[in-house]
Amino acid sequence: MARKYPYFINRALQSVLVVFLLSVITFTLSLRSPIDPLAHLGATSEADNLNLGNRKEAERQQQLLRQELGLDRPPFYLKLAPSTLPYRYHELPQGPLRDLLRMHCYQGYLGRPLLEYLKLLNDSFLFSPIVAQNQQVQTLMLEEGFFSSIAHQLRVLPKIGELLGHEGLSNRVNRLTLLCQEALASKSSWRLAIPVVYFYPSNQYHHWLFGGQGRGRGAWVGDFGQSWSSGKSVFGSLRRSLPITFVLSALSLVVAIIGGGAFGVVLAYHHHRAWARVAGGGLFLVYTIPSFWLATLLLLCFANPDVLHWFPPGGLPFGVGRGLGDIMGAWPYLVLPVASLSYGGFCMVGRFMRASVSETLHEPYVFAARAKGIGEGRILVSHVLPNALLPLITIMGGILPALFSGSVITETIFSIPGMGYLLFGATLSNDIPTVMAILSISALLSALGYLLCDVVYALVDPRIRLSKL
Amino acid sequence: MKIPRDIRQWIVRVATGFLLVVVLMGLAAPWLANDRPYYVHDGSRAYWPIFYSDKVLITTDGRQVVCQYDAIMEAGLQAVFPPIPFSPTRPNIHSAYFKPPRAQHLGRTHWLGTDMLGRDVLAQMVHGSRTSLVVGLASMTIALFIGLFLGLVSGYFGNQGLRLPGARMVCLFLGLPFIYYYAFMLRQEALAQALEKGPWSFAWQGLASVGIAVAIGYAIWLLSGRLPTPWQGTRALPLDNLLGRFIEFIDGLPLFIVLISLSMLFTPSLFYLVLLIGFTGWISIARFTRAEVLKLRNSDFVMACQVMGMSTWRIVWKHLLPNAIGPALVAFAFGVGGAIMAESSLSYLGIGIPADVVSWGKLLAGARGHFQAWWLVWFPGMAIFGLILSVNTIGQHLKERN
Repeated sequence: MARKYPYFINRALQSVLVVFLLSVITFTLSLRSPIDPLAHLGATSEADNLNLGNRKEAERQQQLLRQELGLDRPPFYLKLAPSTLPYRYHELPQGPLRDLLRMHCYQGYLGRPLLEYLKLLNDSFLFSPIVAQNQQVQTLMLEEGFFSSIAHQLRVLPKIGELLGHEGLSNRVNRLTLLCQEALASKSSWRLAIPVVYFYPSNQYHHWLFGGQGRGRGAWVGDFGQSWSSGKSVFGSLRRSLPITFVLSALSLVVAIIGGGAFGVVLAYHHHRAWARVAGGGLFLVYTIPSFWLATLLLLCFANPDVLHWFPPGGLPFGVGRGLGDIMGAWPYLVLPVASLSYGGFCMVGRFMRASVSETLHEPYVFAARAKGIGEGRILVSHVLPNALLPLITIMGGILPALFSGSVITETIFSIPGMGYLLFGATLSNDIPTVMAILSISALLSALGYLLCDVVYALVDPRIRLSKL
Repeated sequence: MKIPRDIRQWIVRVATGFLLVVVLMGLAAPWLANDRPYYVHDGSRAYWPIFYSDKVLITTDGRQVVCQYDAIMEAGLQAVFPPIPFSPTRPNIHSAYFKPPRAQHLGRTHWLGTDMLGRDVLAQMVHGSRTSLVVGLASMTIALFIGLFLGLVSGYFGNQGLRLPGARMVCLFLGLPFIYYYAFMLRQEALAQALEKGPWSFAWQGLASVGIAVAIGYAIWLLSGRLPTPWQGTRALPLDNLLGRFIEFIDGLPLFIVLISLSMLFTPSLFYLVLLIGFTGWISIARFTRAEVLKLRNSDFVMACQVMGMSTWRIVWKHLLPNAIGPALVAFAFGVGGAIMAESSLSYLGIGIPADVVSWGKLLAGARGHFQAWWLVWFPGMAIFGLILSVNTIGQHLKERN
């Protein structure tokens, strides 16, 4: 008994690790995706319709907003970089200038003078009204490829200085030219050969997970931020949709395990009959039906005014998921979704139980029980079933992730406002916070399901517990 | 399954035949269903438009004729068309939701009806088989390589089989970031440029990167062998445990939700879809291979090989792999079914599949909210179901034969 707990704690830690790893991977990928958060937060105005000065001003506002929201910070705690890349590279806002800095650092230019020059360029030159509203300067920059390399900038800067000379900016241009020359002079190839690992205590993942920097209280207490498409809190929409998915999944789980298990036992007991064989083949057949097709067929047959109009074609009356009474009242809405969600598990459990029971029926202790004259029903219930049910616990763990996956399709087809439907909508509208939230929560719940199965199995069957230790 | 032997054989034959028909249909799709003719004759000259990509024919009397069924028929040219003279992608607003079989003007028949944009269902079925097959086979081939490699390695070496000097292990572990830095990070500009130039250029640059990585790894291997070690003797690398943990990690995920989320983050393309399904689908292959190798590892012929002093690589490659590949192929067959299911589900939801790709799932999605169009439900649905069923039946047959 005393050695049981380390095993459970071990398993629990492992499932936490699973969720952590998954969130790291998807978070990093989501930062690299071409989807722009500011476009969804409504910060980008129709830049093309504005005049030059206002467009530059809008760009500046976006930069500031990005910095304020922490979107400019490094993505993760650790960063592998060439030693030429400065530690504080993120003080330069995301955009062409940061790309320039990165490119030159990878070519061996020292990062620190570069960063100093580019920061000055960004903060006190590019967006200053005289430069930003001067059409000539802007065309010159575009034509000469101002943002393609630092060497270009060194050539273009004096020309800009000439253009702006009478406007009192020449001092600033001279200083920029000096800094630029200095940055270009400091090239050292050997520093490029040394990689460094930077540690950033304040990074985007950290703030997503633990809050701060405009990210609320963090994902670890369930605050996944605001939805990019509706602007509402993700937690709120999850709280409305999760119970519905729970009800659906729980009903499907019951149907799959009790129905499928009983069916499998019956088939195994009558395995010599022709109808049982045909039904066994039928389980294999039904198992391969794509769920979206089955759901569509169910709708076509049972929710169609032209054929049979037994059930409503979809949706749920308000309030399901609050209490048991509502579920009873809403049963016509639940029949088809539960059928299309549970048939896969039903077939899987049925086939599994059929194999497992028919194997157990040939065990010597069943012969012994028969020889002793015990009745068939009693043999089945107290000798065969306990042994045949044991391995069922191991496949129970896999059913929960499968149910979550299936709920996306089922809920989408029957327009049930559960988690899967939320995910579907969020995917179509590129709503990354909602997708991240659903991904993390479903992974967490699946891991918990696995954990529960393992624990139950270890409690029921001491051999597992002892062998794994 | 206690079905009589001859019936079982018959079922497998039907399944194989169905699969063969779908494969041939996919291979010949542009010649089976296309609105470009095989052959056109304008009275003095013959054209073979299906073999060329010209959009417009210029006849000898100077007319310009668009290479489409309607235009060629209206121009009154003599032409031979493929058996299904429709393009799977060209919409036609005049023929939306045609019930099958219904003829259109100029003598073309939509044998299986049309979808909401007036595209022929049969032509889309023929072309959609390509998507299913390519995604199913390509992704599972990736998965087969990953799964076989991991299963062989972890099964053969186990937790104790691969023993390294402690210094070598530490050096290799510490060297990993260096390898990544020199082989990939320093070269990422070159790789990005190569990707823009084209797949071949990218392949060469990628190979160069991998070569650098291998070279650095080998150098670390050689050098670290000569280091004086603070530890005595060798340490075992627990490969089996590592793989087991990794499999548990992937197994505990709701894979379809992960697939949906990840395919949202990439720009929709079949290439990414294949990669995603391939990188998540190797679990059962690795598991079966590992179990088989575990059984074979202590068998006489492997021990004989070891006693004869054969290299590990040769034992694994020449003796273990051919004997352990059976269960992996079973898992491969079921995996193909799963990959086709995943692809059609994703395309049914309209996630991760580019807009110009024809697929059965997308065709079926056309019936959503329009159930009068029963032909959009039955034909693609039967095709997906039949393909998955035949692949799974073949898998089941392989499993029983093993």
